[in-house]
Amino acid sequence: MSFQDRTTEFQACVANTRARMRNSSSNATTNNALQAKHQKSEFTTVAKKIAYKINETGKYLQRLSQLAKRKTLFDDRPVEIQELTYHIKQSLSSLNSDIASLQQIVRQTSKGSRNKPAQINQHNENIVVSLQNSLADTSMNFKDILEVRTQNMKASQNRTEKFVASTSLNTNPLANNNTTASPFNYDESEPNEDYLALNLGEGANTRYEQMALLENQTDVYSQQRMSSIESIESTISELGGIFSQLAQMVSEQRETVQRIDLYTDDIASNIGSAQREILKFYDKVSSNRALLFKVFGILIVFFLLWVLVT
Amino acid sequence: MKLYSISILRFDPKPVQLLCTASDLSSFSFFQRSTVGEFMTFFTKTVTERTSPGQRQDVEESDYVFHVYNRSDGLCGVIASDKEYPLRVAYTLLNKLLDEFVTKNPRQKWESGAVTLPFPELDTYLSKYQDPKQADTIMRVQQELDETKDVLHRTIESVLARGEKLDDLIARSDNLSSQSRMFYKSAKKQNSCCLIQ
Repeated sequence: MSFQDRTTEFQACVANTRARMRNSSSNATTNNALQAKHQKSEFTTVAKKIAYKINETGKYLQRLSQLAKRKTLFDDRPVEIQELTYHIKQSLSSLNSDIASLQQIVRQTSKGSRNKPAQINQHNENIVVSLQNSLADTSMNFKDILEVRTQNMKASQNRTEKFVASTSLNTNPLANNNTTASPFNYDESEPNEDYLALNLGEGANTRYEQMALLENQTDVYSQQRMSSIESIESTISELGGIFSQLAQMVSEQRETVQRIDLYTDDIASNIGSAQREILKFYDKVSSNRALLFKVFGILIVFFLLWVLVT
Repeated sequence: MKLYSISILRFDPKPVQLLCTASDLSSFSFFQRSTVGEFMTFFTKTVTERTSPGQRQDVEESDYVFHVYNRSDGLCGVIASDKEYPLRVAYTLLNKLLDEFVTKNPRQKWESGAVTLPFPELDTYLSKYQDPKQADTIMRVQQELDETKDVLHRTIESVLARGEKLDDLIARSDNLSSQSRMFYKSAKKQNSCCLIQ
C-alpha cells in the first residue's frame, strides 16, 4: 500500500471552510437568518430549559412517590417529604410561568417575522403544547402522590393511636431512651402491652409514639384549661338566665300585690264606715234625748186621742 | 388530693442539678418518710433527664404522679402528687413557680455548678396548693359561681312560695272586703230603720 499524504489537501479544505464561514458570517443577508437563528435559539433554549426542569421535577416526584408509598410506622422522614413537596410545588409554579412566557415568545416571533415559514411557527406551537401536556401530567402525578401520602398518614395515625392507647404512659417516654431493661417498668401489671410497645419499637416506632404523646400532653393541658374556662363561661351565662327569670317572676307578682293593696283599702274603708254607723247607733241608744222625744211623743199621742174621744 | 413535693431543677448545662425542693411527707408514717423522700428525689431527677426541653409530661408510678415541665430556657419543675390532683392546676403552679424563680434568681446564679438556692416560696406554695380548690383562681371562681347558683336556686324557690302566699292573700282579702261591706250595710240598716224601744 502506498500512503498518500493528503494533509495539505486537508489543510486546504479546512482553510476553505473557515473562509467560507467567515464570508457567510459577514454576509448581510445572513444577518437576518442569524437573528432568526438567535430568536429561534432563544426559543429553543427556553424550551430546552423548561423541558429539563420538567424532567427534574419528574425525578423529584419519583422520589416523593417512593417515600410516600412506604407504609411503615417508623422512619417516616416527614421533614424530607415536606421539603420535597415544597420544592416540587415551587418548580411546578415556576414551570407554569415559564411556559406562559414561552407562549408569549412564540406569539411575538410569529407576529414579528413574516418571512418565517409557517412550519416553524407550527413546530414551535407544537413544542409549547407538548410542554404544557407534560407539565399537566406531572402535576396530576403530584396530586395523586399527595393523596396517597395523606391516606398513609391517616392509616399510620390510626395504628399509633391503637398502640398509644393500649400502653401506659410510663413505658413510652422511658422506653424511648432505654428500650431494654428499663428499671422504671414498675407497671408489671401490664406486661403484654410493654412487650407490644418494645417489640414494635426497635427504636424508631417509639419515637413516633413519643411525638404523638408530646402533642398529646400539651394538648391535654391546653384542652383542660379550655374546658374549665368554658365551664365557667357556661355557669356565668346560666346565672344570667336565672337572674332574668327571677326578675320576671317578681314583676309578675307585682300586679298581684297591687290587687291585694286595693282589696285591703276597700276593707279598711268599709270597716271604718261600719264602725261609724255603729257608734252612731250606740250614741243613739245611749243618749236620753231620743227616749224623751219618744216618751213625749207617746204622751202627746195619747192626749190627742183623749181629746178626740171626749 | 395531695401534693407531695415540688422541685426545681436545672436542665440546660448537663448534668441535671437540683436547685431547690420542698416536700410534705406528713401523710407517710415516720419510718417511711426518708425512703419515700429519697425515692422522690431520685425519680424527679430521672424524669427530668428523660424530658426534652419545651415539653410537659406526666409520669404515673404506683401511687404517685410526677408532673414535669421542662422549660426551653433550661429550668425544669417537677411536682409529685397523687393521682387525683388535677393536671391543669399542677401545670399552672409550675408555670408560676418557674417564673418567680427566674425573676428572683437571674440566670447566672444557677447556670453553673452544684448550687442550691433558697426559695422559701416553695414551702408556702406547697402548703397553699394542698387544696387546689382554694388556691387556684379558676377553681375558686368556679366554686364561687356554683355557690351563687345554689343561692339563686333557693331564691327562686322562695319567690315561688311567695307567689303562692300572695295568691292566698288575694283570696282572703277579697273575702274580707265583701264581708266588711256586708257588715257596713247591716250597721247602716240597723241605724236607719229598727229603732229599739
